[in-house]
Amino acid sequence: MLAVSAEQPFDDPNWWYELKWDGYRALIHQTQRLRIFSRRGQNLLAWFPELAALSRYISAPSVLDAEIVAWHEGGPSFEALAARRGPYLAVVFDCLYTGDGWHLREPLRARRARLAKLVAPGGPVVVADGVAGPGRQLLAAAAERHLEGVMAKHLDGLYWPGRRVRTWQKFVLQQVQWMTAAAADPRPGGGWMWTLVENPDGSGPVVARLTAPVDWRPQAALIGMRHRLTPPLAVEVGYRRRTAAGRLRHASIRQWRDVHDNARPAAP
Amino acid sequence: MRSLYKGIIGFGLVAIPVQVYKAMDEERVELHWVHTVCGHRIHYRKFCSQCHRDVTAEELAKSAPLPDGRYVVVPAEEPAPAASDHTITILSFHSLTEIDPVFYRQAYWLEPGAGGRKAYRLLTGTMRAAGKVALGEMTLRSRRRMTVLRPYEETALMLHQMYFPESLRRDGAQFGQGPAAISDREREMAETLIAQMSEPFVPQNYPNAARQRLLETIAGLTPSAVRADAGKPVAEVIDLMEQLKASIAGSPRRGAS
Repeated sequence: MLAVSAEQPFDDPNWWYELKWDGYRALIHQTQRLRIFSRRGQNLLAWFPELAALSRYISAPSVLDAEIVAWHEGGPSFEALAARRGPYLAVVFDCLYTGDGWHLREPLRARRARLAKLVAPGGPVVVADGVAGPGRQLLAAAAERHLEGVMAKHLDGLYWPGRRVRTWQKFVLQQVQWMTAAAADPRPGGGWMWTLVENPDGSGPVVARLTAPVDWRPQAALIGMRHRLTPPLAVEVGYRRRTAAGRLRHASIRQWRDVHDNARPAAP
Repeated sequence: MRSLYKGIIGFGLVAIPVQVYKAMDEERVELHWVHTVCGHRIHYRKFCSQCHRDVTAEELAKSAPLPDGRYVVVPAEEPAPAASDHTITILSFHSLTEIDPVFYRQAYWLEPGAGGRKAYRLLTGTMRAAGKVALGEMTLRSRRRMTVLRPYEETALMLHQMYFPESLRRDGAQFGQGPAAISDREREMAETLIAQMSEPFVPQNYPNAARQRLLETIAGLTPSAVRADAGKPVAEVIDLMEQLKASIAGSPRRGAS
């Protein structure tokens, strides 16, 4: 089940508002054994074997909807998740199945009540907390903390697997877009700065200059030198808004890959 | 080596001051239980599952269960008079072979205290020459224990805490009883085999391989050692959600509505 983008953030006592976590959407199947699937059905346990610990903290049988998040310096970091740097945790926000059967035809408030009973404290799993009513205030608070946004869900809404529905709406603080790193500059204190443009061939006006991820290394011959990246790198960037001149504000690198080399696997 | 306590060997009219040290290192490598989510050490709480709360020391007592399911609360033991504490009183002397190894518990070194070396050496040397060991009674932390004192190599005295005789489960002594027809040939074969496999006992030939492996594992993991404060993401997520909710609850708009 997917959310539409809200035209305007709104307040409504019949809606439940929780933080939008910047991670990988996941379905956690805690049945005979633990399985965790990505939106495209890939096995996330193969990506994040540490999450096997979840099985000790989630009651069986159950199927939960969740976001897998990497935690870095006090906040969620999509960049750390994409580079597979833990620690990871699961923020669970919906309960689709329990020993009582499927609950897709129950309203969200009933599914949330079930969810609270399934998760034991102490493990790398948290039940998403939220508020009913003041959605815009939660969005303002999320903006202050540089979080991705807020999810608004109708408390009487049912669960529609695989569908994008209006009973789930997202208030997005962060825009996400694939861009291109055209050049790299050594930074005085070590590390690199990337120059980002919008065109995949590395041409066009500069939209941002960002610190390159720590796990990126240039070719050995180019250490310490400013150089063009040939071929350019595909870089997914999150940002809050654009200036009038088109520059990105509050931008951060979410993930990157060398399109030709394919050394780094695509996201699940 | 840290001394456990200072005491006195009472031998007739002579009192020999000694310090007591543990003789054996723990075989176990020190390991702590940690909560893998946050990396912190766990601790144990005294919790009453009936009352659903932690209990204080004053509320606690030891009880002895009875076969019918009832129990009696045992009064706390009176501390022994200070004078008898830390005194090892020698009761009698015996041959070492008379005392079955099953009764031995912990081993301790005894070091002569100030002004005690001469009496200590006299006792050690005389026991060694006579081939005897001393049976003693010791009060340690207000508990009476039986001990054996014996010379170790040339000059040292070792003390063994002993099990009380009632502790031995006698039933096992019956094992192996009943008829067994053993021929002379079989007996000779067994005797030959034992003679062939006999050799001097060298303790160094039998090291603790499992402990060695664990220590090597720990040494290999040292580069990835973490501090307990490093990862507490779940606590931080919960904090973050609480803070955001609190900032909504405390905002003036909410208060006005």
